[in-house]
Amino acid sequence: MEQTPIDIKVNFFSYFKDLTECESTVLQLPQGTNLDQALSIIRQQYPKMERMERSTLAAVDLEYVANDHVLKAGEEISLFPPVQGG
Amino acid sequence: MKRSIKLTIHPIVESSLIAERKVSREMGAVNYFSGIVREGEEGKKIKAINYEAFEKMVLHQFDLILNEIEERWPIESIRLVHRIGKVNVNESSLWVEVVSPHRNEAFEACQWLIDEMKKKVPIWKHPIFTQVD
Repeated sequence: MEQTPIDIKVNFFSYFKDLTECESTVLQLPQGTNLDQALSIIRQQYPKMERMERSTLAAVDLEYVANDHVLKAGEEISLFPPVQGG
Repeated sequence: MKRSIKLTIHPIVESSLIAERKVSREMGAVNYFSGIVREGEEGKKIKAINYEAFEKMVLHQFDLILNEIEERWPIESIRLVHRIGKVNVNESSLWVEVVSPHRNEAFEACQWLIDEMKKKVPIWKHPIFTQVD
């Protein structure tokens, strides 16, 4: 039986908003997609994000998770450059 | 451990925060840190920094950091205020208070909190440069 794809919202912060020219988008992903795979898809959709690969931090909802984290429907990915609080 | 984490667009009034301090009779140390916006950023002069924050995640990550502090040191309370939005040069962008029985844990916990913040808490600086005529 074909599995329904899941909708995952992706948020961009700081100058990633400029690179992608958007604050957020929604990806339709196959069930079982992990964070690393989702990041690959995002870089394909937003080629300017390719050069930021090494300095991209990724959170799922409000947490930093491992790249093999399997995404669930309703979760949100947030992408941003290194943080600079203080 | 009592805790208070606040984000604000308003100037931090340190005297008011200190006046509101609550320290139990068993405590012997209160450590304060205030982070101030410097005039120089990336080798250029700035007049202000615009702080952007992913607010929900900021509060959650600070909570996790404080959970770990609670495990590591005998701290009675931590209060923290971080500005968001525009902060002028010479204004405080961050204020931290750590209350503990002795000075060692107050110093150590405060340093560790700020070090962890700078790795994990999703706040970013957008400098507003002084215009060159």
